[in-house]
Amino acid sequence: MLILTRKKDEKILINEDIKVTVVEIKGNKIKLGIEAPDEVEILREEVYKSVEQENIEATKESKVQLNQLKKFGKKPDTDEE
Amino acid sequence: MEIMTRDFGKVDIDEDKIIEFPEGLPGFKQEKEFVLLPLEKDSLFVIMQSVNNPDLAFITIEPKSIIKDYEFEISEKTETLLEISGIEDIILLNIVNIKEKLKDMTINLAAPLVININANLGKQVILDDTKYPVKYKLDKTESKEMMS
Repeated sequence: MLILTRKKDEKILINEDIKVTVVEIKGNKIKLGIEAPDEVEILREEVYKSVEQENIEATKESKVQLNQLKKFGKKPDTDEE
Repeated sequence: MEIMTRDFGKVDIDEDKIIEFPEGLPGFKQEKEFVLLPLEKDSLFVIMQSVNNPDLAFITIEPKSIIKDYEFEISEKTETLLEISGIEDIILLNIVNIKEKLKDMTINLAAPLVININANLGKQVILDDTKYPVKYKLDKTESKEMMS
């Protein structure tokens, strides 16, 4: 891992078109400003990880009776009268 | 073509209905081809089955059947990736996580599956925002409504 030391308001350039600025340092919190082209996806890591975890969990717990599930959710407009 | 599925055994699918997820899904980066199989006619639930891995399937639901005003912005990157030209291209599905008891199911509202149904391209979009939870639990009224 490349480790760089930066002060408040200093920046890091990645690939010349991604700019990361240290906006604020307060205790153990750092605010970063990120400027990047629209096609660059920026996510907090834990958000991505939680989705990853949730996906894995969702496929694991597949032991549910599908028949039960069939009863559970019906489109309301197609109920027989 | 015939594929093996987790929930329905062997199923004959139309190759034109295979949805490509160019980036895979978080946790399943290698899985890029899925088909949508309604649980049964008129069910709110849709099984998203991997074409290449019979054991991998997600139970999903259209968000509009659970919550009103589910809203988010689709980024330019996603629009390009999915070749979206208008809202009419898009269907949304959210992955359902079912525990032992059906009523304890949670729905991942933080990461909807955005699918361009006209181009058969999909992506699980992560909404990096605290508005919608990864584990959204149906309240009693919502469960009742679904069961009625």
